[in-house]
Amino acid sequence: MAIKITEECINCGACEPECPNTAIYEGGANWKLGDKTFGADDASPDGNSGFFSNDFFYIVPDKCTECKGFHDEPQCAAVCPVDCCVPDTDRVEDEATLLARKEKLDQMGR
Amino acid sequence: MEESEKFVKAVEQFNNGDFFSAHDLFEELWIDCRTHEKEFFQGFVQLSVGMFHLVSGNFKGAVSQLHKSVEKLEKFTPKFSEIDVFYVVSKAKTLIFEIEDFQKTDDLKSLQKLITHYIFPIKYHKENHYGDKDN
Repeated sequence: MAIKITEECINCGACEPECPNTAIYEGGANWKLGDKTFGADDASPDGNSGFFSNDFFYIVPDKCTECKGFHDEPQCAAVCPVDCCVPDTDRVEDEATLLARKEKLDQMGR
Repeated sequence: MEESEKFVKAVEQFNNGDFFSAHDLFEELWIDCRTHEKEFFQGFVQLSVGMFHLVSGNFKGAVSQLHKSVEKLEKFTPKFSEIDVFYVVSKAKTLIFEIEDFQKTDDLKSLQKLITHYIFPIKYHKENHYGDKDN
């Protein structure tokens, strides 16, 4: 499953540089995938919605691999001082799916 | 700044109601710590963030952070590193109870008015619960 950031986030920004997939964005900021830029109202290519936040950092599910293929554990959760990077139970995915996403991102760019 | 100085400064900021700055300093201590005290510092990061969310009106975030803080700080009761951890944990638990009670009645506006009443200081164990230094 992808990781999500809860409303406990204090916007310290510790997680953002740790993400190997550049899946983490500051609240209100547009996100990128390959050569395209997406805003709050844009549908994600994988059909995900409801993840954008104007108030605190957010994670794009299309780009989150839970750090599979890079690290043993999600790096955002490891560095978060308030433990607010948690598994998104609405987006449960197996390891094969996450690794396939990493491959896809490797090819198309993040 | 030395670790002990940083801790004293963070406590001072917390007790002055500057919860965001306090969280920043406690966070630095947490990041640098490689001993069992790491959890102690994180408990104070989460306590500060919980209070910050509380005064900002983010009650859901406040309750979650206070719960996480209590879970960590309880391991260091009654006293640790000159801090009266038992006092802090007791006050945090009372605060959680109060917020949850207000959430049940959906009367969060009343809670907002009473916030200053529920804010508590981090006390050193040489002080009694009235804020005076024991001899």
